[in-house]
Amino acid sequence: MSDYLEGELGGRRQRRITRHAEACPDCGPMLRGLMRIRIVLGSFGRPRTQATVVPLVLERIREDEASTSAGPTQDSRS
Amino acid sequence: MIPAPADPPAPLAETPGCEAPHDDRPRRPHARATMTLDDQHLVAQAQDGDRAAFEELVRRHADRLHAVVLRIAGSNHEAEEVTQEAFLRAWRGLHGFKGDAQFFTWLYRIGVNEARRRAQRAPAPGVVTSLEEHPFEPRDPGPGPAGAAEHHDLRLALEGAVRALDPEYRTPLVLRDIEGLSTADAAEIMGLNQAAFKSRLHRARLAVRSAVDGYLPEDDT
Repeated sequence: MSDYLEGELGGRRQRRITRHAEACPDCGPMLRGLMRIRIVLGSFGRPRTQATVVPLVLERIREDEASTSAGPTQDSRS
Repeated sequence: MIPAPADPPAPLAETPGCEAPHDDRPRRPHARATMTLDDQHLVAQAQDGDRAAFEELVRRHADRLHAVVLRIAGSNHEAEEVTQEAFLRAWRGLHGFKGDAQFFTWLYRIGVNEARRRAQRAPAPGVVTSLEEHPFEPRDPGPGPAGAAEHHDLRLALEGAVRALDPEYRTPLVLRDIEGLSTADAAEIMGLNQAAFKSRLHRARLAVRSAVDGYLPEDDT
């Protein structure tokens, strides 16, 4: 079901599940509900009242650099 | 009738710090590739000590990262702290970034992991109301007047259902379905293989579906 929702099954299997779901009283509503939810989640967007945090981040980095007088360190995190 | 599965939500924009929230034009992978090439160039410059290059990376990614961690951590104060901390750690650790991953997945991994850690120790979901205090602006205007109220109710119910999820299930839903990251990128950010990520995501989707069942149209229940 998850792969179906992601459209990852490939044409024939995707169509077969679609046909099944159209006729199945359990799978059809389940899939339609999940699809609708996914669409609504995708429309959530970003905070309306939230100002940009870019100045905060830049200030923090500049403060840190001023306190250490150094650029990127050899601290490995990747 | 069962519609074809919808395209996933729009992926990360080319310049997340500059995007228009209402821009719902389809975004295709090549846009990500363009952004990544530019990011790689900026990362290389920043690794040579060019702070201006790193600041450009901040401008590109900070607001989007903040939106992501706000949904995971729940509190705007926490989200601001996490975003700052993530960039600071990225700046300090930039020489350790080998380019095996894209810069934004590496950065998001730092931020998302910190947000998950804080969310795990936060008050029970539902008590934190920061998302209501800072309502999210929809990316699209909705289905039109006839279905607007229904869509609004479902959206509010979904906001609550997502917030009520355990952070380990909320995070994949935020990364994949709300932010529209690819499964590969989202799994990498969470440090999971794709199968494990998909499993967790599916359980999260089923949980929110169950939670909002009463808000779905009759045909979907």
